[in-house]
Amino acid sequence: MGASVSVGEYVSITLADGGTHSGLNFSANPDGTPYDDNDQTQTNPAMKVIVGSETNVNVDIGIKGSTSSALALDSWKYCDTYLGIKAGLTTSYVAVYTNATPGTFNFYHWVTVPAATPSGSYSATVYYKAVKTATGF
Amino acid sequence: MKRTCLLMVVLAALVLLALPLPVQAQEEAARYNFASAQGDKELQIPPGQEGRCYIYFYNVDGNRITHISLDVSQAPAGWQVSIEPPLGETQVSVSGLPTKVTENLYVEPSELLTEEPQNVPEGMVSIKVPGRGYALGKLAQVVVRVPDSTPLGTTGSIKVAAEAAWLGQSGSAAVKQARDFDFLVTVTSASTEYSEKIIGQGEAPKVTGNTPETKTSEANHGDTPSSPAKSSGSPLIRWLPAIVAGVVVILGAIILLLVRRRG
Repeated sequence: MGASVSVGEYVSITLADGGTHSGLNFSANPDGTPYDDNDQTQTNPAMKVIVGSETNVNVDIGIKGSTSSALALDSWKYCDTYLGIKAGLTTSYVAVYTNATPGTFNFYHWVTVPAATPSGSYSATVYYKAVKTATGF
Repeated sequence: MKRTCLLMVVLAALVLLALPLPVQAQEEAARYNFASAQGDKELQIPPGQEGRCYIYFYNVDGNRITHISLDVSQAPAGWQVSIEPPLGETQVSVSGLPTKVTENLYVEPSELLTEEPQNVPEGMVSIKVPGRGYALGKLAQVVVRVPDSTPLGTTGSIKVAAEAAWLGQSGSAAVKQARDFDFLVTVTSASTEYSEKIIGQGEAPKVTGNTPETKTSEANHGDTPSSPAKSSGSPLIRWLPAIVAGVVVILGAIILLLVRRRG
């Protein structure tokens, strides 16, 4: 048997907030139109996912959400580009970036509030997950 | 007059110092870092004993404390798998407000070090970050106990699901990270000395009689199985009938010559 060496698996993921409003912040009217995260612009995504340089496996980056409030999870939108098709969050992970190597990966976020939604405060949790490429979420 | 002027200058200086600097006034955008280094993914444990898998966490790219909770989401039936440190409550003050967090451990932001630290604070570990340096972080251990009755050679997959959270998020949607850590455990003998013994053989070739070639094969290779090609016969055996026939012919010829001379 030949000599072998064991190298650990390193994964470093940083979520870099797009501004000083920590987390994802929205102020929206119940008109069914998408509202940007308060820090978000076309050139400044709400959240940047940074894969650290020490990460020694290629990763797939996925997203999912959860909510216990009355605003449906599908109302919380995301996309990897500002002008792309906005998808609603789901309860299972959806791969947004695949085979990613160290670098920065943009996530844009919006919320849409259907007409006639009562005024109030609604909340959700957004999960980002990095898995070794092709191993599944 | 001069005294009054001096007093006013000092007062003005104090007022200016009391004002927040523009840099201080602008709060830094949050960076939520979840960094891990997984030790050996494969582990060998004898029946009735326990082994440990290691996961290291550090936080050199973030500016918020990372709160980590770990859960054993997959393990073979009957195996005891636990995590150290266990899930517990941590009291945290968030902007002056006391809060309780349920977690296994937390990792505070720390500087990346260019050299391995000589003095590592209690409860922390030094982690080599390839290509970057060293980080002070924390260790979580996955403790696996294999039941006595588990047959040798059994393998078991263990998955630990980690969730990283950050407090003080003012938004309507909080962000979290998730990550899975997979381990494969093989149940092995408790003996540390190397030994190798054949305990069975599938579809062994049928040998009719204890032929010399089989003995030779055993003599040459000890306990290793002889291959069917080798036991099919050496060239000497294959030519034996011809040799016997040749000897008979030669003996016959000699006897014939002797009989003729006498005659």
